[in-house]
Amino acid sequence: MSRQASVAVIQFPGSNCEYETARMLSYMGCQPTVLRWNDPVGVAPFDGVILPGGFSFQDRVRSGVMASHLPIMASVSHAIKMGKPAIGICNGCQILAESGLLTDSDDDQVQVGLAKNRGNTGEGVGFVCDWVYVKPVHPALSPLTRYFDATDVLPIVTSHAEGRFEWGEGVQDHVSRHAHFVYCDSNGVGGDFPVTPNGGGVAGVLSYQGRVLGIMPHPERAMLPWQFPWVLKHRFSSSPWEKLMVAFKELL
Amino acid sequence: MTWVAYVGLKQSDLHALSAFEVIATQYPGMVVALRRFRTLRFDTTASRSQCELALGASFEWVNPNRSVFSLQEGPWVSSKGRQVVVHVSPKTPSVLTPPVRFKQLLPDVGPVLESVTWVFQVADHVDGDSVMSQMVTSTRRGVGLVCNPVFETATLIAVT
Repeated sequence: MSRQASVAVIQFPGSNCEYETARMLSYMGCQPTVLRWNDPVGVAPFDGVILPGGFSFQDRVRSGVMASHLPIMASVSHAIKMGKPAIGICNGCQILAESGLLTDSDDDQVQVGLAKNRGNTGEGVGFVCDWVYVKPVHPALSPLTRYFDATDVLPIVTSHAEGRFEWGEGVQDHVSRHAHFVYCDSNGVGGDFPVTPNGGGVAGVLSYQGRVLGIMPHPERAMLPWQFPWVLKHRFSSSPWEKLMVAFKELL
Repeated sequence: MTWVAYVGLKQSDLHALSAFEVIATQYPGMVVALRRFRTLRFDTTASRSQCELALGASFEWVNPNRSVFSLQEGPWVSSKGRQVVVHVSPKTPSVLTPPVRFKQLLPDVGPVLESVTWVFQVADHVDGDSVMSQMVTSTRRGVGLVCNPVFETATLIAVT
């Protein structure tokens, strides 16, 4: 009997999506463990890591920055450098960005930031929670997105106030040439707010080696067919986001 | 004339407390206290008393039950001890929509820009440059805290 791949879902003080993320992993045949932020062992015993959504440390100072200073993030950094796959969802994405783990830099340089959402004229739009659409760009270039097709249009829930990706020097150019997710409408066409709820267009990025995904919308809230609201008029026999988790599972 | 308002909390500021905890753990003995002020910058021809009236009446920005504000003069001026004052603002300006009451009292007010001012009360041997490089700007994981240099700018505005 083959061993189930084990995945750590890190529970920070203020996380609120860890159990549905664990449920998603169970559904996909993985063995999830909700791991507390102060666990002395860290993520070393696990095959992969997911940083779930929520409001770690009440988003004090800046979303994700307090959690990025925790000792467990050194453990996550080590696991990523060992080649283990990692996904940061929403607040998890903010934590990965503040930890310098979205660009595979050797010394965890902070090269990506998540700024406040903006509207069409640059005005702040605050917290946006809604069903939106995203599509993968250059999906074949990353092992985590390789099962997606460039024509896929994926419904998903977005739920954040600070989700506008900002880039350090040279990073945006790199991101545009590699796999990432962008917001679009139901026909796959980009647009202004509210089609793009963050004012930037990018919904998720992959690290340079493609084994770390930071995504602001919530795949775990779109993993089961009955999670999709009837108003979207989609009828799935299985969620299109299963492709992401199948690829993640294969990397474990 | 450009006016700058520093809005602080009457009670404990949890953002500042958490930031202090992280910095004090990383750099023991360097920081004694940390305070944070939401900073509003705006242009108007109105007088100081009119600006104070408008700010005090705009409950959205200054809730008199929990906030206090000072205009122009930083609230750190009257404090004792060695202080390093750092201004953190987004590279793309954060423009606020003025509350109706504020706009009524200051009809010619221009855009209101939001930023944050941090006041580090430090030990005598700590200089402004080391605060900026070690505690302010997040360059790597675990280094710096209150400014993400990717989308924010930190400016050292005073060492007292």
